[in-house]
Amino acid sequence: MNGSAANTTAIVVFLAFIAAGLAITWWAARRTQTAGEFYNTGGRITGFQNGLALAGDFMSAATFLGLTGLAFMGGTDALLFAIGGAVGWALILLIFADRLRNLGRYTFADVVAYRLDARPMRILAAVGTLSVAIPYLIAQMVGAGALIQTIFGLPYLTAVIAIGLPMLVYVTFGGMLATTWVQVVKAGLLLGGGSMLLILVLKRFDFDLSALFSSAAAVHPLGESVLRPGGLYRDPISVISLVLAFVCGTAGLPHVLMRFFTVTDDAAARQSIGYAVVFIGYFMGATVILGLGAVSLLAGETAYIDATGHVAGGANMIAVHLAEIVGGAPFMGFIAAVAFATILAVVSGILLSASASIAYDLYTRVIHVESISDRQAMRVSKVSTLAIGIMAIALSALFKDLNIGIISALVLAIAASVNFPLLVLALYWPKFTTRGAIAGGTTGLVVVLLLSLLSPTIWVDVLGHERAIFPYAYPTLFSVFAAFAAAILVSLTDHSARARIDRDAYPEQLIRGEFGSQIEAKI
Amino acid sequence: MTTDIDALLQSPAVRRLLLQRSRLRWRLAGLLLGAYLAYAFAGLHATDAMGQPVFGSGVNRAITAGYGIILLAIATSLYYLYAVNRLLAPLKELLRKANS
Repeated sequence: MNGSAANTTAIVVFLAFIAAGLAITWWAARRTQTAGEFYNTGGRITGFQNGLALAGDFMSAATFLGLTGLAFMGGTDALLFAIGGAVGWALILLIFADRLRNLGRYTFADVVAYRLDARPMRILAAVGTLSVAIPYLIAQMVGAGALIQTIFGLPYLTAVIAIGLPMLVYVTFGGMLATTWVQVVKAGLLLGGGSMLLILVLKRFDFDLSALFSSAAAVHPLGESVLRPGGLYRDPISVISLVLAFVCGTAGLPHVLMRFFTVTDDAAARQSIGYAVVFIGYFMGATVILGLGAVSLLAGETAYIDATGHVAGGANMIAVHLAEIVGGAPFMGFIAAVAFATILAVVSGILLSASASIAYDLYTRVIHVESISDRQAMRVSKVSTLAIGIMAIALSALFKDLNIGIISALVLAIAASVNFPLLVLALYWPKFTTRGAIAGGTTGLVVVLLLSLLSPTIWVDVLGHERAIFPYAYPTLFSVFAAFAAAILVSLTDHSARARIDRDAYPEQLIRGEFGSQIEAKI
Repeated sequence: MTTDIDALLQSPAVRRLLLQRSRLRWRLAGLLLGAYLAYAFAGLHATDAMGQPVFGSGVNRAITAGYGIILLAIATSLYYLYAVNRLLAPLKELLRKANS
């Protein structure tokens, strides 16, 4: 980072964010007395607040910094990701919002286990949750460490601890209430900071979008092609896989699904996702404009881009460099601190989802079959939060060179191939059975891991083989199809006694899922 | 509680409501997913057509369509919120009558 003014602003803003988070945690801890409140706030969050928190969960540093960098390098193809965000969230509203809120309490496992055999379903959902949450948590922390190292020049380990410690305190003591409010504050900062950056960039072009795009095409090495699609992806399989990873993967992220249960009823759940679609659509659309605006504003600035086109600190630093050019060093410090706060808020949400999966789905509902007191349940929740958090900090410190791009893509692919098919079939297909769910979930997980291993990104780039066995970069099209196919085939051929119970319970689940809060209110 | 749910399932009004809601949900979902896939495929197979300018020299069809789909996702979500509330209003009345 250039200049002490930027560093001072960044440190002041980030310390203020940590302090606000601690104050929120203190306030939330006094209102979190039961395990239920620890996981879902007792339904105290309004639709608007939850909409901001959901948008905050999705608008990670990877989205903000990564998408700006992608638009800068690849041009309007980055719009595919921006559209994916808005469409993916609109589909979550249409397909999941009501039924999830009406059928679940704390985690998405509640919904999958509603009519299917609870024990194997909770184990399967926990596998789906942990295989997404833990690698995602570590990838985010490694990314944060590298980012802070680049921006502030801090040692990597110090950077990881600077993120890890507040995360542990927020989640362990404040549970979902603190995690949600930290996310709300961060989403406000990110939307505000991003909007200020957008206004400052547009001002440079007299608020003429046409001029901004033309200037980008005039100086970009790709020329006019930077504004045309088709540069990043050249085959239909990769495009469909990317679309599926974005749409189905987002809808299968456990920390996102957990937020559906923090509001009072299905109407508030719908409303909150409606807000989230607006925030995400606006923010991701704006991010692409920032990336294209940076093309001409950063052109010729040798402090940021050298003669070979290499960006100082990597393409992820484009938004930070852009902030310095249009707003000076203090504004750059502010944007850097907002990116830092973004990571802290996102890792807190992921940690809570991993903890809920172990403490609630596995311990309370599978391992410890007799009912336990609320005090015990709270203790288990806090211990599991601390254990996972400390493990994540240790692993992030060890795996400094982890390829976070690969892990982030893999995590989304796992969520799309395991959690998404389970939820869709459990909610919408009357013939779905427990055996079908086990077959579908297991197939999805095995296929996505195997194809990822054999893909060019791991088999060639990481393992050094000459040619990839699976030719496509993204496995999602194949793994999602395999998961659905296995689940449907096994369910259709399942004539067990349990299958009858699973199918007979569908009509009741349908009515509760569609009209839950209205029925509860009247009966 | 089970009896009430069985009774609800037998009610023609409830069955009609379930059908209307299902249609609304899947039609809107199909519209959005179709628009997204169409955009992605147009980018692959109609690169030149997508690169044609629309309003000025800088803004082309790809950019206009891309932001158009983001706006469509927002509009669809807002319409769904409105339509579901309108669809559910008769159910409240039905349950009030059933319990009175």
